[in-house]
Amino acid sequence: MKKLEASALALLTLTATSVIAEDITYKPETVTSRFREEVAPLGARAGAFRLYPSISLSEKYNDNIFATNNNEKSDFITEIKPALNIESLWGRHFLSLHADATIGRYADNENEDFEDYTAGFDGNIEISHAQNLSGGYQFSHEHEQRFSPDDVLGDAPTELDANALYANYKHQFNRVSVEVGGEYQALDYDDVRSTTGFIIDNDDRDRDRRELSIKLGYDYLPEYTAYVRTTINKVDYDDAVDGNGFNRDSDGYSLSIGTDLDLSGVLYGNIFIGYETQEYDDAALNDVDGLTGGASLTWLPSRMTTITGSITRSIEETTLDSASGIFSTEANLIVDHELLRNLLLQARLSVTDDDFEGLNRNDDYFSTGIGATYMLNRHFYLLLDYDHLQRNSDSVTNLNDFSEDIFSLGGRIQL
Amino acid sequence: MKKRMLHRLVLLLVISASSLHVAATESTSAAPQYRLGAGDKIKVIVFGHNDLSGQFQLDGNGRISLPLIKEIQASQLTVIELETAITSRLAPDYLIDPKVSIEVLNYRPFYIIGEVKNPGQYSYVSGMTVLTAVALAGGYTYRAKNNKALITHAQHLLKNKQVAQQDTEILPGDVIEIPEKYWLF
Repeated sequence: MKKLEASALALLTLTATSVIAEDITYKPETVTSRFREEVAPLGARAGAFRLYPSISLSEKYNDNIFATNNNEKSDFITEIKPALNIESLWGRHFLSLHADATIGRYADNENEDFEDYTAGFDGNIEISHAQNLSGGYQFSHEHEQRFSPDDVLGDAPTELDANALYANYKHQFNRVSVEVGGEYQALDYDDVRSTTGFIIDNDDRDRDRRELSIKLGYDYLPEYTAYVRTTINKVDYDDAVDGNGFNRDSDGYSLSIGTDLDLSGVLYGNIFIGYETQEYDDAALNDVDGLTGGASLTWLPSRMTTITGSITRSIEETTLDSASGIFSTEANLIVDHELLRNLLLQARLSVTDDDFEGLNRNDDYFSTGIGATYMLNRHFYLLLDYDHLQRNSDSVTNLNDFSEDIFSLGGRIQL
Repeated sequence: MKKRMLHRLVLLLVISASSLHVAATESTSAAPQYRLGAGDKIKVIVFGHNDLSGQFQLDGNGRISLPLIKEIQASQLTVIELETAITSRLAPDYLIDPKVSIEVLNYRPFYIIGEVKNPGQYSYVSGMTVLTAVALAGGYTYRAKNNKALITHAQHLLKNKQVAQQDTEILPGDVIEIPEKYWLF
């Protein structure tokens, strides 16, 4: 459940899953992907582009804003989120631009106020019917969640800037396809003031990561693509050693095999298995390696209900004490139901196991939630959510355990 | 002479019986309880009197206008009841023992609304059921409740909705409503 460098990592996984699911041509619409004629926003036409501006306003209640084991502090948070999405209307290629900001204001704990913002683009060029080039860039300024193991417990949440760039090239030769991809990500952490007044230097967390991936696919049946994928990565920290004296630079690689599957459109997805390792330059940091794998499945028991489940494994960065890295295993289950054409319900469940390598610590996260989206008309949506998050850490003290409940009510105005 | 008269009488009886029989089977090809309504087109045959026979369409008030007997209320009557009504008006003032047979040429359309792809009015054909009506209307939408339909029969004065299954027969002038499904059923 590592939602630290959320946008940057989300971009990574987004490209990873889109690369895996790319070869499936026909998919019946899911509850969330269905185009709703009467309530879908139409945006505004500007030449060869369509603009979708929106502004969301929500009020949240969090009963444990610092994610502590005891002396929980609760508060109300008002969030305003203006956003703009621009999409091209070209026949062949595609370009989308997006920018948004989230301004959060706490009722009682002003130090927790935050202003996150992000901007970027994604594009796709169809060089020919067999060749495809896609890429994108995103910049974001965000704040770290208080329950992150790397949170330095400053008097305000740690803020960071993230830059992420990716490019992907795919060439299809009849049944065989070759895909080459590259990703670059840079993170820059701001210093934060401690509760006692002195400055905590976070620059030892600044780093960049480069990854190259090659994927070979074979369409053994229509709708079924089997593939072999290998990646190599390099993580470079700006500082030679971190605050605890460790050189956190590392190199890693992975090898996996997988296949897409489609059972008459009612059940489809992909599944892969492989091996992943991350080797740290510092001899004092243990290498993290092990079995990697994942599965992502979508099941449509009816046209009005969609159930998506996924399980993934990945190696995450940490600067916590002597831990070299975290082998994270996450499982998700989401049920979307269309109660009315303009009322969508969602129930979600997530379980994460974080195994700290080099540290005697294993965290288990469990979260569950429900939500409703009521689309009054094209221009106004009402959003209601409830989420429960808890962590059970097996460390000697129970200080790392916490339980958090968040209620949220909001609305979105859009063109 | 007596033999010839007897022979003619038998022939007359056979012909009228067969014509009545034909009329009867054609009128019962729709559900037996179908009652005529405004817009139906019927063919009235008075045996031996071509000038009293013809094709007639029920007007907005459900009446038809026949030669000699002028307006006669036809709506809310079954075909057999209308035959009896016309017969009683023709006899004894105009004809002695008239033989009237009626055939429905064209039924009123039926209407289908709710969770179908193309709601609207469609021509009625004998023996139609809810399922064939839905098929005419383009089929169910993804939100339709397949196992249930609500029918408002045209002839019921109370006009309340009745629950029906896919194989329930429908009648001309009926309004069929396919309800929406909210969960898995």
